[in-house]
Amino acid sequence: MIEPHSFYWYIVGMFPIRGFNYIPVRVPRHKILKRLGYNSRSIEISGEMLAEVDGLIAQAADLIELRGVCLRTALSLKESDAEAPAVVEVVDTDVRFLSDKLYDFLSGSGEILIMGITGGSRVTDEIKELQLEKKMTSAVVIDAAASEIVDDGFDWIASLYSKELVREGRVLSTRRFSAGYGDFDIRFQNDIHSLLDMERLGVSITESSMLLPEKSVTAIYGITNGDNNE
Amino acid sequence: MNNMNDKIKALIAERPVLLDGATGTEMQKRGLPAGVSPELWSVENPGVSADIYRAYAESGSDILYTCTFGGTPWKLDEFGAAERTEEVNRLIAANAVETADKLASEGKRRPLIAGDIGPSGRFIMPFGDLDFDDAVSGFKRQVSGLLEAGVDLFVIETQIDIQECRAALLAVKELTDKFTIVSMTFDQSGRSLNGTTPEAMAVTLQSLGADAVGMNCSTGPAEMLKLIKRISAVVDIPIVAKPNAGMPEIREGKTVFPMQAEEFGSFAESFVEAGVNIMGGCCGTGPEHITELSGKMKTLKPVKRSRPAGSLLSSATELLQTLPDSPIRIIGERINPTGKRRLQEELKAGNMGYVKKLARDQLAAGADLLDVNAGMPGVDEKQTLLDIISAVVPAAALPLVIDSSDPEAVEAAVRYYPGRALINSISAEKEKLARLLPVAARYGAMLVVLPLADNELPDKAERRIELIKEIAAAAAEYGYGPEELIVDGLVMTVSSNQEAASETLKTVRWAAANGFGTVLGLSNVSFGLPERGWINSSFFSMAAGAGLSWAIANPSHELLMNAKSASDVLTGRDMDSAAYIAKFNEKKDADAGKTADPAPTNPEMSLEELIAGAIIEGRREDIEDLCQRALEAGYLPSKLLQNEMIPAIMKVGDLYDQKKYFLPQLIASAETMEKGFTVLEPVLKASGDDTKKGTLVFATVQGDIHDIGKNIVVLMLRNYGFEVVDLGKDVKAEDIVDAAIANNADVIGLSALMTTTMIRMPEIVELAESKGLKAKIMVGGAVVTREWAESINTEYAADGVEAVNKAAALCLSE
Repeated sequence: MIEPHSFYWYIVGMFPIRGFNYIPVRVPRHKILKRLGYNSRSIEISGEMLAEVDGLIAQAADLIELRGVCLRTALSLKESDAEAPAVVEVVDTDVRFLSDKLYDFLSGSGEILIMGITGGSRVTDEIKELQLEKKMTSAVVIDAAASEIVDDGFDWIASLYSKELVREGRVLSTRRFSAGYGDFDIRFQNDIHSLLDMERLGVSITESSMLLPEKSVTAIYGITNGDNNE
Repeated sequence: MNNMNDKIKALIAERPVLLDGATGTEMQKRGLPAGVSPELWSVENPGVSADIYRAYAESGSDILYTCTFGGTPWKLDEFGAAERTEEVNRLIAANAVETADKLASEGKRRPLIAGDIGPSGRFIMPFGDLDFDDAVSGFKRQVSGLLEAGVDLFVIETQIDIQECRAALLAVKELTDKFTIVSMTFDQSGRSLNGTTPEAMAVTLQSLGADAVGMNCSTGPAEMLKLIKRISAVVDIPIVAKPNAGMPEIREGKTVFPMQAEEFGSFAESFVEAGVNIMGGCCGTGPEHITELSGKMKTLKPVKRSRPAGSLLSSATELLQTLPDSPIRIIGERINPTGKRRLQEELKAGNMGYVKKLARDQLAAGADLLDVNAGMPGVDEKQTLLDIISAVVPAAALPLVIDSSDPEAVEAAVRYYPGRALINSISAEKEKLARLLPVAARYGAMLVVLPLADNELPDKAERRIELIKEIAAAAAEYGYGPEELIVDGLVMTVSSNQEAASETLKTVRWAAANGFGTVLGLSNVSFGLPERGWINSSFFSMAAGAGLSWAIANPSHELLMNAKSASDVLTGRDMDSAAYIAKFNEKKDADAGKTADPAPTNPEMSLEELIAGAIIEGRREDIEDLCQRALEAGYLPSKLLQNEMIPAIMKVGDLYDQKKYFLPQLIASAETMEKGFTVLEPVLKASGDDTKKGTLVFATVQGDIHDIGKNIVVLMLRNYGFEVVDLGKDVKAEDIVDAAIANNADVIGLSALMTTTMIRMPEIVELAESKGLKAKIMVGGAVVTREWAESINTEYAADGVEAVNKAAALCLSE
């Protein structure tokens, strides 16, 4: 029954990657509306229009199939100097993230949790199709909803890890950091894609470091050192 | 029943029972290294575990958990030891049992040993890909090892998924009748990670045979206490609480559970008052916390809780409690292939998308439960029913009614369903009754009682009542009370028997008066008659007056649902008529909203006003017809465009700028404008009135495959009268510049979403300059900033509205 290297725990290099073939789809309606520019204090909108938007959000939720992968591993940090930015090194690999911001974010962490999530291709196919059919309203709402729903997948996995880590006396950072933000160059997404072997999720990466299907994202969390081994 | 269970139950009845505190952190204090399996380490270091057991026993624990939290085959597999599952659990538990015996031999009180089962780290169908029966089998391996060592009871703890709780509980129950505690973790939000409420958890697990339910970990005592009160109101089995020593905090880079033993112990009284019978500590607690609890609990007596009232059903996430004065519950009937060709075809093809849609539609229309039926020729009913459950459970958080005449399919469904289901139905047919009752009882399902017997479909209420009594007596032997039995009044067609309705109502009246729930499949009554909706809704109201509590119906039938709302008011099931008022006020508002819109048929409005109104309101469905009518009425398209449509879309742009409109409204108006323009365009071209404000070449730069933002801008520009040559996405610099030359473009528009592709923009600027192109370049996209645009000598537009304004200015400056 147990396959040692089944999808749920597979090995890349020397790392066990944890896979989540099903992540519950939760709809962060407030965040989606905010992303679309909804301002409850100033908006003038008919019930009909709002119902249409809600229907499209529900359609997005139905099209999304959230799956994810995670790698929890040790890191080593090297301060920046006059000549080079700070380095976050994933221990026992040749992956080195050069970023002062990421360094600051992870200072105090003994481990990192790297996550990759995809909403699958059904939703991106539908967004493309809607644009071809010139149904831009539907495309725009579903696009925004998909982005927020996929993002919410991070919160779900993070909650799971938080529960597990608490038993080890460790804590997962409440914030996350992604390639492409601040000085953490988007090209490091290639390393993350490779570390997590995201091809297994059906996620590929372009030369310009974009993940495909488009509603796919990666992020890094910090794990604080426990004090239990003292 | 075994003696140990009697002993445990007697102890719980006598006083609050004390559990242990955290095990993992105690092992870490005693040398458990990071990154190793605590279970394998425990096997290698039995003295350490024995020391922890002893410390908790001496602190006053009545029950000790074995150090087998990670002893499932899946967790052991992470350390390459799945094949040792039985052995590892047996060795660890044997050490615990031995320690308990040793304490007894020293003249001390012998603690009870609970075989501990933690989460697998996997997700089980329908929430994951691990097959439910494989999960049960995997847990059985751990249970076997623990049983071999002679544990006194079991505890399934720190679970985040109700389906995993069910799998583990069934694994225990299918191997032994030992007392079993099941405990989940809940966030401060009051839900498990997969969204289950404490009430749904408690009812689902009590009905599946858990001897005690409760919660552990995740929160400190103050937060947990609120949730404990909620489950105490819906179950009568003992309740367990094992909170953390507060919420973890980071202090000087270290994780700290802040609550000291004394403060932790101070919660004992509140927990016992809230109904807790069994209490201990989880993360951050140690023997000192248990000592403190022990001291406080000595003087406390358990609170007696009575069986909660009404019928209790649950989905994977929600509880549905139905009391005599609850609104009539609507069981959505649409997931039933009988007479429904589309559903039949989808089920035959194994496509569950339509089933999910039916589930969601019924939820939205006001169903309280969903009937699921897979009885049709050409499919494997059992497997199809399981597939339907897998599809519906994540789509709609409503309890399910398992509707099948095949006992095997029913058994498979109630075993798999991650909630407390209602079986539709059981009758006095002897063979079926004998087969279904034990199945329903084993999986804790409620029952619809159909008053018919072998070869007998009684016409008269008196005979139906006899059969109901017969079935209820048989069900009582399996522990069913009348509130767990929903009597089907047996609806017959009134067109063939005028007395059919009154016999049904008599049956309903008697059943309601005798404490049973009552249900009707309403629509049968009107079969063969015209305008069936009137008969059905009238019958509904009459049945409501007779005491009907549930109805199988299509919740999207407005007449029927309105009759239900009115009946709830008239039979005292809608306190202060609140639901009725809310429903019809909402409807009134929606209707008022519709009439306030400039409706296309409003005779007082001119066609110009209607066209402008359609654009401002984003009414895509109206605009083509309006424009066509305008053309037929002799309106000049150029005037319509300049005087009505462009001002209307500009007004929308202003509303967007003022944040009175948000993006979907802006785009809906743009889409409306585009549709209208498509109607006018051929006439404009024919008359030579299609003068453009300017020509733009637009593209998403090479390497960038995100183009929805660019497409919005292109749509907006076209609506404002610009000629836009859209080159699409991932376009090379040479192609963009060549297209600009070929089309004699006034402006080149470039979009980029990523920093890696944004760098293509200056390359295009340089190439355009090198080719002597005079076109201005406008840039935008998620990562592009005004400063960046200026730095590469281009214009910047943040969104579609700004792009239109900028394009107009750039074209004018030509």
